[in-house]
This record gives sequence, C-alpha cells and structure tokens, in this order.
Amino acid sequence: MLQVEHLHVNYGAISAIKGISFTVPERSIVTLIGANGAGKTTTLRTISGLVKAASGKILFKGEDITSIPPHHIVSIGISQSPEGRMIFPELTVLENLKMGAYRRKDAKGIQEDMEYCFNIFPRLKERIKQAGGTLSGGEQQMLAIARALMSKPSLLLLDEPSLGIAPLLVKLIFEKIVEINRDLGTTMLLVEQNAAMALNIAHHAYVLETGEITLEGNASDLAQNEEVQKAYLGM
Amino acid sequence: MEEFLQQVINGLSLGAIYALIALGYTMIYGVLRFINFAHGDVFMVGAYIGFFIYPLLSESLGTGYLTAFAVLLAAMLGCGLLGVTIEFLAYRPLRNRPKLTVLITAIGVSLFLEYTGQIDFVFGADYKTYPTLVERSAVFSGSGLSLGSDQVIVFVVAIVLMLLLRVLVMKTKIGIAMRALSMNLSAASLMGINTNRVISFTFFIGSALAGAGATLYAMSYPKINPLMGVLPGLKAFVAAVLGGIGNIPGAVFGSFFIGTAETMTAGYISPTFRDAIVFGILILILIFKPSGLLGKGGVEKV
Repeated sequence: MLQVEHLHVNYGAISAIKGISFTVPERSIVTLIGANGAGKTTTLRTISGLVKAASGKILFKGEDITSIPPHHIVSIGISQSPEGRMIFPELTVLENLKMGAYRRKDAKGIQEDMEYCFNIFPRLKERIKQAGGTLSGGEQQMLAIARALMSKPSLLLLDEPSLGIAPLLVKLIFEKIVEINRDLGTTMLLVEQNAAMALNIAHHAYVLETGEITLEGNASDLAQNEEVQKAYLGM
Repeated sequence: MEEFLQQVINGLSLGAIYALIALGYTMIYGVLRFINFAHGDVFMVGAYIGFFIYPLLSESLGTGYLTAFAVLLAAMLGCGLLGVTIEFLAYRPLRNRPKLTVLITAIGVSLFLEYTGQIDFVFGADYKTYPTLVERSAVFSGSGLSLGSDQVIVFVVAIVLMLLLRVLVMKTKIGIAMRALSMNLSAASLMGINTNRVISFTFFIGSALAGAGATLYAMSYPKINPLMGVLPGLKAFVAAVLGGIGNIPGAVFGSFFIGTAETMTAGYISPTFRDAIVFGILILILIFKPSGLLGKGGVEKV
C-alpha cells in the first residue's frame, strides 16, 4: 500500500534521512523503531507532506505522492496521529473529532465513524463537551487516534502513541490499535521508541538508526534478534 | 452625572468602531502570529471606497438607509479583497521566514498604501469630505444627554457584526478550522485543512470588519485623507493588546475600554491628552500584564 524508495530528507545542511526504503503492505501493522533522533518522526512528517523530501519517492497505492501538500494527503486516505498528540487544546472533544473529518461531506458516514470511535474509546464520549486541553495524556492520545480515524484513512500513521503515558494506558491503547486494524482493516505505520510494545503488535519491523535502516524483518523475529534485544529491549 | 453618562456613550460608540478594527488585528495575529501593521491603512481605503462609490450608488438607489447599507457592504467587500490581496502578494511568500521579516514587510505595505494614496490621481493628499450617508438627528436628547442617530447606527452595526463574527468563529466549520489553525498550524494541516485558504479567509473577514469600521468612522468624522488610518489603527492595536492579542472577546473589551478612556480624558482632563492616554495604557499593560487582560499568560514557544 505504501512504498518508500531511497528517501532523503534534509533540514538545512543536516541530512536527517539518508536514503531509506521500506514498504507497508495492505492491512498490516508495520513499525519503525529507533532511538530519539533516528529520523522516525521526520519520516512520518515527510509522508504527510509537512516536510519536503530532498530526493526519493513515496508511492501510495502505486501513485507518486512525494510532493503533494498535506491537506491533499488526507483526502487520498492517509492520516496521522502526530507525536505529542497535538490536540487542539481549546476545542472540545467533539470539535476535535469534527476537525478530523474536515474534508468529508457524508454526514451519515461521519456520524457512524464517530460512534465507532466512542465505542473503542468510551472515555471520549464521557468527555465530549470538554476542552481537549483538559484531558489527561492518555485521553489525549485516544483523542488523537480517534481524530485521525475520522478522516476514514486507509493508512494510519501513528507517531509515538506511548509517549508520556502511564504504562497501563499504553497497554490499553496498543490493544485498541490492534482492534482498529482488525475491525476496519486500516493499514498502520507505527513509529515507536517503546520497541517491546511495538514489536509485540506489529507484523513487520524496521530499525532506524541516524537516518538509515539497519535491520528489518518479521516483528517476532526481530524481537528475538540479539542486537535489537540489547539496544532497544533492554535485555 | 449627565456629562459623565454622555462621555460613556461617546466613549462606547468610539470603542465600537475601534473594536471592528481591533478584531482584524487580533484574528490575523491568531492565525499568523504577527501584527499586520497595514491594517489601519486598509481601514483608510475603506473610507475612500465609500467616498467614491456613494455618488454612483445614490444615483440608482437614492439617498437613505438602503444606500448607506450598500456603501457599508461595498467598503467591507473592497477591504476584504484588499486584505486577501495583501496577504497573497506580500505575506504568503514569506510564510516560512522569521516573523520580523513579515513585520517589516507589513510596515512597508502600510507606507505603500499611505503614500500611494496621496498621489493626486489616486486619492490625493488633501482632506475630502465624506458624504452624509444618513442625516444626523437626535434620537434622544434632554437633561443634558444626547444620543445621535449616527451613534445608534454605530452601535447597531458594530454589535450585529460582532455577533455574526461570533457565530462564524464558534459554530461554523471554517470558524472552528480558523481556531484550530491558530492553536496548531501543522496539526490543522494534518486534519486536511487547507491552511492557506483559511488564512486568506481570515484576512478577508478581518479586513472587511475594518471596512465596516471605516464607514462608521467616516460617518462620525467625515474629513478623510490617506493618513486617517494611522491613529485609529494604532489605537485599535493598543485595544487588541490590552484585551490580549489573539483573543476575540479581549479585542472587543479592550476597544470599549480604550474608547471610553479616550473620551473621559478628553472631557475631564484635556483633549490634548486623548492620544497620550491610549499609549500610556499600552506602556502600562506591556509592563504589568503583557499578555493582556483576557489573554493567556505563558511563554510562546519559538
């Protein structure tokens, strides 16, 4: 569904992504794991069109989407739950979700998808009229994922959903990610520092180190890999 | 007592005009985080649009409220389009440059409008007399208190526009998008919001309100010239800062405060100090509460 080919991204004179290639097959969960500063967020921001690629190609359903503006990327079916959640703090939970559906016109479909979001995250329904900024970190993460789902994406980009959240909630959120993948068949590209959690739910994994992919493989195989265990799983 | 009430009425009617201008400053600051210093000059152009279009409109519509309303709409539309054009030509190419660059450009645009306006075949540097849109009459007078029809019109138009703006910003999809964008621009574009389009829309609305303000201002103070936007523009800017820049209710509150402070000073101290008091307030607010009376505190992340 998504193919990234020899992607290079620079910030000024610094090269952040140095020619990475990876693929995300339809209906799968693929994870990019790596330390802080490895280029994980930059990769997602480039796919979403917020950052321009210096060279290389991003193909979505076979079409080149490398230099398409961000609002267009959402229209073709890619949405993102960004790092740090980026909830609109002064908008209510409902308004946040409506913004997620900004480009859609099908009122009925929007309503159905909202019901689905409330179904998997009942907490959001309880807080529907509350300002986004008053939610706890875990609730904001739920809202960020639900908001991204509201555009009815075929590919969902998840940037560090475990960041700064209580371990119990992290577990819940990862369960929900699997549930969404199973229920809706949404393809997922998950970026994580929490490699143990990510490898646990992903089908395929890539290890990113300072802008380059150093390892890849089946997620359960990588979890057994000695280097990965030492560097990312703390074993 | 009557004199005091009279000053309050005069102050609020002046404040209502400032509010229409201040809303533009604060809305544009909200989405782009910079002060559009050309805003006062967009206001000035609004007065000239009324000046030039009135003879044409009164020919077909006659004189009266319908024509006055048509002049108001024309000034709003013209200023709105001017604002969108300025954003597109001058500010958009600098979108990812340091804010100071855009700020200096805004001053450039301001000077451009002021001095182009003074060329003879544009507006001319001399004072022109704005047409009498509505005959002035006393709606109420007695016991030392008077309320003119022009003041009533100022209140009605300003309040209707502010209520419409509130509905637009709070209830409509584009209004919510505007607020979303002012909170987090990249998150807004991740929602599929075309940020450039929302920014253009914000400039249109903000500038159109300045056009309405100009029409009301010129009705009350009918001597117009190309530099007429400078002082009202600066005062409305002070009002927006006083209320908390970026905060819409704050801009309205600040404007009524500034308008009243100005007429009170003129009435009770000396008309000479009416401008000084406004900028005195600016200095005080910048020293003691730089985020404004209704603004949120906190350090802006750069």
